[in-house]
Amino acid sequence: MNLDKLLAKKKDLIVDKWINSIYESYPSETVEFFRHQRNKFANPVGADISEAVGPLFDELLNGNNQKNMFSLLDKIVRIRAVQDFPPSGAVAVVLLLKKIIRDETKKDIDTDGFFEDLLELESRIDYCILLAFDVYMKCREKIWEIKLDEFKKRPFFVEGEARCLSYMVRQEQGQGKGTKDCCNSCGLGEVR
Amino acid sequence: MAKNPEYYESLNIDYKPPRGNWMDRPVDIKSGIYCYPARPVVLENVGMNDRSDWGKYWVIEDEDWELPDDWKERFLNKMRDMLDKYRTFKIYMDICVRCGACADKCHYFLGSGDPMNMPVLRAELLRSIYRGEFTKTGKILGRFAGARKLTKNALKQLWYYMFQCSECRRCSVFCPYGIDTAEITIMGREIMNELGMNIAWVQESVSKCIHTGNHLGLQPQAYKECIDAMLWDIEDNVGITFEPTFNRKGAEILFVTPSGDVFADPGIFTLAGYLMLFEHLGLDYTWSTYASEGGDFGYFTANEMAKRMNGKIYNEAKRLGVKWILGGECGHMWRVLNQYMTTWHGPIDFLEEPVSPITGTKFENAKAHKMVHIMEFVADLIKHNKLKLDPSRNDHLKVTYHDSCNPSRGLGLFEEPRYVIKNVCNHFYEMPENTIREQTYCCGSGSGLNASENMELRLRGGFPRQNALRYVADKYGVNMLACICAIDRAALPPAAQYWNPDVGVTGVCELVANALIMEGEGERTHNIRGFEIATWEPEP
Repeated sequence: MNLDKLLAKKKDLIVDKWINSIYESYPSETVEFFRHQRNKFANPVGADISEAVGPLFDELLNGNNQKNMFSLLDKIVRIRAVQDFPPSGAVAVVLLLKKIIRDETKKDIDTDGFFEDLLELESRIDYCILLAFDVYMKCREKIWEIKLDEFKKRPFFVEGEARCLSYMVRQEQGQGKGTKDCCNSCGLGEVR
Repeated sequence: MAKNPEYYESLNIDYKPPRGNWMDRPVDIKSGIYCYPARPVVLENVGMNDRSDWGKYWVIEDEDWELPDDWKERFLNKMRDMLDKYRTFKIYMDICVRCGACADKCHYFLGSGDPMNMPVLRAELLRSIYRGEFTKTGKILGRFAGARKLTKNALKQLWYYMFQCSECRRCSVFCPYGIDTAEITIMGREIMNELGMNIAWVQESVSKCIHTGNHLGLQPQAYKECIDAMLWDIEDNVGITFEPTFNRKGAEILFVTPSGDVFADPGIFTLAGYLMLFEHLGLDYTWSTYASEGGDFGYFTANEMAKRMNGKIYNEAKRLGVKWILGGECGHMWRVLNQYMTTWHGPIDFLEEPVSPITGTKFENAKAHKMVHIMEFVADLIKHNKLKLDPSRNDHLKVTYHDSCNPSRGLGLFEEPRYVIKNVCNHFYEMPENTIREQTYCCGSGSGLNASENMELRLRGGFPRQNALRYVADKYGVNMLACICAIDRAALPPAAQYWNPDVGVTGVCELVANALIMEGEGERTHNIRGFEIATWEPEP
């Protein structure tokens, strides 16, 4: 028996703990909600996390397919990239698994000497963190691209001061400002 | 391998946020979440309280917000006035039992995971001040009764979260007491206006609308030129040439739509839809360069400002002597029209009860305010077979429909847009039940929050809607999201770029225009966006 098999046996427990520790990076009131609301459209963040974590764990143990890992990480990190986390907090979801695995296998590793296996698995997890960082940066760059697009699309006359000619003339002549002393020539004062 | 106990201890990661009562949490204002504050000049332009008399330009991330010495007094006086004036406000402050039915219904909470975005807690920010400053129980029992005093930290918290509510009213659908939590946001914003604390995106639009008639600040000639540009496109893609009229006295109908449709992409194609439809019908209508805005950003500042901005629609209707008013695809415009307009300006005795000149249908629902929604108008036309349609022209589209918040929850418009879409498209798919109709999720950018600097807020707030959209995109291959709100058309494309990059956004009238068979039209190989229909793949 090697470490991977041991972890495969403990998969449900570890995945469960992993999901919970990701949930717990949110405020306590939110954690309760994530745990109890099962409808994926009423709880999109909780659902995306819980849907992605299991397959990601399988991928770490068996597949190690970069493309699959990337798309699974995308589900979690894309959300965290727009939430209140610092960059480290956004990608730390993967790091949380290390701690869980160490806690869960501590006893077995000491007796069975799986330490080398553990180091090897942790290297895979490290690689996964790097992928999470790639996802994070891709998302953040996308956000800036969207912001830039919006600025570019903004019409020039939306910027700067309101260009009401009668208002500007009055301003120049120093005859009162705004509607306080407005002549109401634009007719916006009263309807009837 | 040697045993290595220290190894296990070396990994001490803890990303758990601090616990404790929300009243004690210092407000952590993050860039990407808040909108830039309004410049004093745009407040002054419209005669609203600006900050120029006491402080320098206001920087949100500064520790000191440069408040005037009497800020507390001003705030509380305004709040007292409003509690006296608006009975609903007082009731909403008093009756909430904090049952939590609304807690998990807000898209900003669902997307951010920040519990302060639970509608109950957001309202509690103001309610706790109400208890602490205005009620005996609160004054005596203090925090035990959920009360607190108005402090600078409380004010910052209030400002930060009142501008993280899009007033979409999804939470109020679930409130067993019928508390309209959006109204608490509206009141909270108006109180803070007393201290000149509003946001640039809202106030710039208000100032422009007051001086030019629309939020974009388009002057009459620019407004007409934008529409002219669309007419050239229609000529190219449809092969029809025509000229609509502007500011024409004696027209039967005045048409009012948000200015976003006149300028912004993809709203401009919805506008092309209106133009083609009215030309096809030979409707006796006119555009107005004065009532050139259906939306009302004043509604996001103060009641009086909302009334002032809204008034131009009736002013213009009266000046032009029209019989009734037809309104375009807009969001909060319809909540304002349906729920506030007659209270502000009524009774509207200079207009007639709207009757469709094509079908003779009386729009009895619009008896009071005399404005008909374009979807009601078009659905009625289709029902009476007055439009020749070729839905196969939209066959490359798999369409789903986003119920825009205000037309659905503020006007009750659920079936008409669906009826229209089903008649102009062959492939229509609904998103999951708990994300549409009265339970629809906001686009994430309503109530003046569609600035660019708060993009993270918009994207996370838009996630619940995009999550439902992703579901139908994966399951049915949906590639087009239809909606009937100008802010949706501005806000859904960026959100889709981030969450669903293969889905485009359209107004319903654009779909109608593409399916519409007009007399004398040329061969329709291109849609009204100018793309070849056969090869077009929509993108946000």
